[in-house]
Amino acid sequence: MEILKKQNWGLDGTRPVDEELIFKIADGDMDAFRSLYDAVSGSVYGFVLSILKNKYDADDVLQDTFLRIYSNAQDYAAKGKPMAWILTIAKNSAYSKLRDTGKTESFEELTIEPMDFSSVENAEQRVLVEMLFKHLTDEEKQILLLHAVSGMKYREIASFMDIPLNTVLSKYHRAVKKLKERITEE
Amino acid sequence: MENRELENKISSVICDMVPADSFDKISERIATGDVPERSNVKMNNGSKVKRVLFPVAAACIFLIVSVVFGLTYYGNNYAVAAVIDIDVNPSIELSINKKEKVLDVVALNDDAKALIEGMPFDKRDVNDVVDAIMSKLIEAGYVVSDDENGILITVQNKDIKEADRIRSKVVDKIDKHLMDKNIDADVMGQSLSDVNEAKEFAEKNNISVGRAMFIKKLSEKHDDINPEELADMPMKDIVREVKHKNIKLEGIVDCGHKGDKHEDGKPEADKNEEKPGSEVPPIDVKISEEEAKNIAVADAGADAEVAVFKMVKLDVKKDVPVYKLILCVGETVYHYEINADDGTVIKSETETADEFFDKIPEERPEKPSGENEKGDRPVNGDAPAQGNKPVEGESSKPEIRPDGETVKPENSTDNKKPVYPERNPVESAKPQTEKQEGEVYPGYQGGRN
Repeated sequence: MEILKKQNWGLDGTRPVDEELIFKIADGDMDAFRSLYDAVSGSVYGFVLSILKNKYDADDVLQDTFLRIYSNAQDYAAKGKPMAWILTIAKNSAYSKLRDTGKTESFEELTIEPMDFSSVENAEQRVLVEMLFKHLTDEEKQILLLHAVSGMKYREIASFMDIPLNTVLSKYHRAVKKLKERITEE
Repeated sequence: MENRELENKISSVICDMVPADSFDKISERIATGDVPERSNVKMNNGSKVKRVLFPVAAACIFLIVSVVFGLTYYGNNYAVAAVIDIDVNPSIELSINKKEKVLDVVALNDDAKALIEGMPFDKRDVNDVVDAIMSKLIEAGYVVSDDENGILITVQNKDIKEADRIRSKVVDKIDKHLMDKNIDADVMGQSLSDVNEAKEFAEKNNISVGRAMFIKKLSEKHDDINPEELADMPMKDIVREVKHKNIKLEGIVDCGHKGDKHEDGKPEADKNEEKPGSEVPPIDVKISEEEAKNIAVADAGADAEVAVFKMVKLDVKKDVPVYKLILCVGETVYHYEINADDGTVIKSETETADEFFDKIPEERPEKPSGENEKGDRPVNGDAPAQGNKPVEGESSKPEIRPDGETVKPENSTDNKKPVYPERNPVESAKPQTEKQEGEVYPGYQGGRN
């Protein structure tokens, strides 16, 4: 939370990731690598968790994503979309993880054990995250997380997820409504 | 709860869930070299619709551009833009593209087949091919230096102006080739935009459409022409027949080019440009030139032995063929006009030799050493160069034409009439003996004689 506040991350629609960090990483700057991790690790973790639905796998993929960022930083082409580039690596890593674990069926139909959020100390937060992962579809989760945690605009989310903007908007509002309803019920 | 508040809570809890030791593990793996190999990261560059539409649109644009470019390329390179018939006896048909490169060469008769066998034509410039064909025609004896030659060039093109342009170019090329080889030839040209009327005759007689059209036009103008007969003749025989029958080719073909070389190195076409009126074809008259001279001498009451003709020419005056003669008998100069059909004297005027030569002072024979009033020595042949202009400052003085003929300005209507130097050789024997070196006499600069 401190990191997010420092970076004003994802709250006002500004781009929290400076492309310069990636260029510095390409030059072997570990301080820049640390800065980037602090800025986007939450976004990456939340996103891969929404795909994998397993916090251990998400942790593995988080590490794998940053190692790939480290090794591919030299190939980053400045297009003003560093977050999309990072999340693309994360998505590829997550899908790769799914293939490795043999979970190749439709992710919507993936049957997994209920996620354990007992490590979240704050009860309100724990309930919120449980509702989020329990009652929202994968696409709703990803849209909500990309907007709330990564600070991506709806248009960027549509582009990143390769779905129409209207779908993003409707699914976002539906996700927020569902969550609010569930929280109220609780 | 506001959306923003909900988002903040979600963001906060997700960030808190990130394992605290993850970065250390990552750093450790980097330190130990446990880093995945570089891989190509392919990002989404737009929606599915855009990704599908863009290649489709690009493909369509590419297709349209290819079709347009292809059609243009085909039109410029492979489509037949014009067809050129070269008729001598061999008849050869050249198909050329817009760039005037030869696409196809067709031999239209056996002579042509033998002539062009083995000659490379493909995509060569039409000028080069025409040159090569002319060399072959000369080499094979179809065009020779010591006989009459007839060459018919026909250019077919939907655009008659374009056909004219190409024809002019081809005829010029042939003309130059003939000049270089010092060969005389009647090079006739015609431009056609519609050949349908001649196609049947061409196919029936196995001749080119150009030759068929030429014969057809001839037979339409002259009843005594047998088209079937002409179809079997080589072009030089057709030309001979045309000349024999005194047939005017005006309106049938363009005879502006005659591929013979002259003393000044200029082709006949150029000479004609310098001689207004010389393009008019000869006219038939019943009185010969000799008869006209005898009539003039008799009318003057002179002795034929001492009569000297300064000029004899056939002209047309008010649609009547007229011989115009200038006759010197001693110190008297007679100007005669004699009807060339019945021999009647139309006009007879006299003047003294002094009066006559005063009108052309620079040509007066009495001047010693041939010097004129300015002290310049006139050179034989100078007169034609200035011949189209009246004598300087003397508009009433006689005009000396390029062929040396003197024409009085008061007969200005007559001056516009054509002259026929070939048919009117000037009497020259006696004056030549009297003429001093370097002098120019009117009537003695007989053009190409």
